Amino acid sequence: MTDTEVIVIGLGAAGGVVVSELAQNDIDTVGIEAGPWPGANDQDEVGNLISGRLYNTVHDTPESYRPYDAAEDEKTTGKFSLYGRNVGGGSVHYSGVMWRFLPEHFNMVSEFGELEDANLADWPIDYKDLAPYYRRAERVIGISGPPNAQPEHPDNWSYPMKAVDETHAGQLFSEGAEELGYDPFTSPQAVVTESYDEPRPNREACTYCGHCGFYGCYENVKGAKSNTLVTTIPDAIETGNLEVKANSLAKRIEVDSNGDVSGVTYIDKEAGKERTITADAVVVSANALETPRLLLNSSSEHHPDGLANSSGQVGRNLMFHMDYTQIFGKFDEPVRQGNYGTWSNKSIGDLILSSHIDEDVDFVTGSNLQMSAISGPVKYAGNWKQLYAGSKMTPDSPEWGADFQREMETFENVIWLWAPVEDVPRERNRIQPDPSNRDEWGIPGMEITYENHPQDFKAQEYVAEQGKEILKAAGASEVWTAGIGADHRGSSHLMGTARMGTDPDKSVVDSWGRSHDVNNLFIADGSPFVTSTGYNPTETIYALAFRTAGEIIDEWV
Amino acid sequence: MSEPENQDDAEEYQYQFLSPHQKEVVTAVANRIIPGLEDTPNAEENGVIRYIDKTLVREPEYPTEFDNRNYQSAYNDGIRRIDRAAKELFGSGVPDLNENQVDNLIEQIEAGDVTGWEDIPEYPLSMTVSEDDFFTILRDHVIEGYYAWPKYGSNKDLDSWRAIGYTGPFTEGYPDPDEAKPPWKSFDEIETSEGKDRPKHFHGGSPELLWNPSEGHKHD
Repeated sequence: MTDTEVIVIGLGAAGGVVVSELAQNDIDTVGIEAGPWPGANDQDEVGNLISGRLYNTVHDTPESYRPYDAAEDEKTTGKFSLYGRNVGGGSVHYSGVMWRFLPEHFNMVSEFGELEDANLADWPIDYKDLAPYYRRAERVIGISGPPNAQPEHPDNWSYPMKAVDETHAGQLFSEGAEELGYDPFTSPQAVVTESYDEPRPNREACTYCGHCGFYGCYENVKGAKSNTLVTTIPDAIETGNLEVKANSLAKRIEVDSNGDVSGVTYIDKEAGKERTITADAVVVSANALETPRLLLNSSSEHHPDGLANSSGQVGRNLMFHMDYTQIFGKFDEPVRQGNYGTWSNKSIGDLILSSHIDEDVDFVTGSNLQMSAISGPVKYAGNWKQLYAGSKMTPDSPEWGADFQREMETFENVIWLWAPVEDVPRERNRIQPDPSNRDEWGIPGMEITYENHPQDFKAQEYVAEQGKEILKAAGASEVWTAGIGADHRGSSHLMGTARMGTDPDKSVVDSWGRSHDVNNLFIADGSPFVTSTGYNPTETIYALAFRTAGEIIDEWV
Repeated sequence: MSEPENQDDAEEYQYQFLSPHQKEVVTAVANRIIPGLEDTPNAEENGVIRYIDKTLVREPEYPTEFDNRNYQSAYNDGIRRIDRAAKELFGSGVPDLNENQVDNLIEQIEAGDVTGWEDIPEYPLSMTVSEDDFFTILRDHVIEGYYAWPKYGSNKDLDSWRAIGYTGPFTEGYPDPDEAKPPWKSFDEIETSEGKDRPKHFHGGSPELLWNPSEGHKHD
């Protein structure tokens, strides 16, 4: 007799969906979440951006980074990746820009061939396999978008809610993009734009307070930012079939004498005690850094190289997107991009893959190019050297003094674009447990080895140049970029470290997220991604989570 | 969880971390980072020194690794090093320097040209700032405090926001599509608009938790 039927580790975008699907199907479920229930959510820059209430400046896993061939003592410690550590995970602070991947994205080798020094592969599923789950995510989580959906996508669908209103900055971006022959459209977003009753009644519409990405939703009380915290997790709790253990850090997944998963040992942080619970199955949804860290920290007699790792692929093929890519344009008049509206007003999909680009280019991948939001003056000028919330000022702007203060008077004149440029998977890009750098409970932290493929930089450069041209055409008097050409050390988009596939020698899980090695172990988060695509990943993480949960319900129980 | 103090008693604020000397050094440098313009306050006038003192003793939202109190040692050490650099360059400590001398001191610190500031590590692509890089920590704190919500002890009258045309958050947001396009209303027009309220805990206190595990789900 086990303590529960299923344990889900990590209650973010994926885990939050899985617990709900299981609990609503009368499956007794325990959700283990390393972080607390989210604290106060408001539009406070200091609380959210600086103190990092909802994300990884408060997470407690030590990280280090080293490039290829660097010696042990050449590694750098710091905080490189940004992820939510709270019930609801990153879906609480995320910018909520939502995409369906293109059919080509699931078949990168078939479409483009092998690429030297990369580990490209086709996904074991196609777009059509995932389409019903995308639809379900859009409805259940609550995603709004334009009537023509993603113009670059061969499929056509409608969102359950109208797109967000056009802002002044959005209008400028569209005019610039159209002048260059692109097809701008309103970014689909996890934002409730009209009164909505899925999956819970009376979700009120967004008030366009302008404080979205990196914040929780002020209107979260009403559920205007769509995430698992206000949708699936409360649904699951109401069934009575889900027990949430917050502040509980999974230390190790236990196996029985057959090598099957039998439970989870975790740290009850509040009590300062180690506890073990048993279950018939375990779903790991801890994100593509914490999931492989946990699997590799769970080696045993049956699984000497780490749980689910007979392929040696756990922790490898780590992908980040080229998350540092930033493009800015400064206008002579205020554009007020950040203070009105949501995170992303407009995007273009014309650069999403090299095959969609009208001219010959010497790279394979590409990127969506989307507007972001400088929500307030601290994000614009403060926190000078922090990567994500760091300064958005012009490169030659004074850092202090009267001239700095005058520069601040034009802070509302800047449009910030961002591009999740697709990085190709590489076997050497990996996360490994780091026994020399442990967290406060003695669990090995993580060491990241990562270098971008040369094609990634070419794609990034190209996309950034087009972004600058669009902003110039939109009327910007000065354009510049940041984060171009640097090897990535971390990201908020974590993918690839337990890739799905049909061959157990080359992949970790099957297309349903079930471990090839261990029948009652599932993975649902960004880890099973085979390629990263040039799109924000969360809608696909939601879709895969719905699909994995369906498999557990239909086939496993 | 700490309760940021209300602004009303700010005049009698008792410094909790900075010693009188440390306060003088921080004030002299902060007032050159943000010196104030014709009709906008400098750092000190906008409450930034109080903000820094409160930040250095504030309990974190969650009991985790990130904790502003970790910067206490960076301040103790950094203030000592700034003072020593001032004596080396000008023969007296920071509080006795004139504005031009403080500007010059900051420039030399940034350039790594003065004792104690030679080996500040080149900043890696990380979200952490080295404790040795005290000038960056101080600058960040000054900017944060200058533009923060009043609840943190600074920016009481939102003078910094008014000066840059940042209207900031309202409980009601900006739901009228006309508000998302010019002509823009001025800061004061929006601030005094009917039906626009600042968030409840804008001036002090902590917002309510959305979730309280012991009470269950508060959504409905």
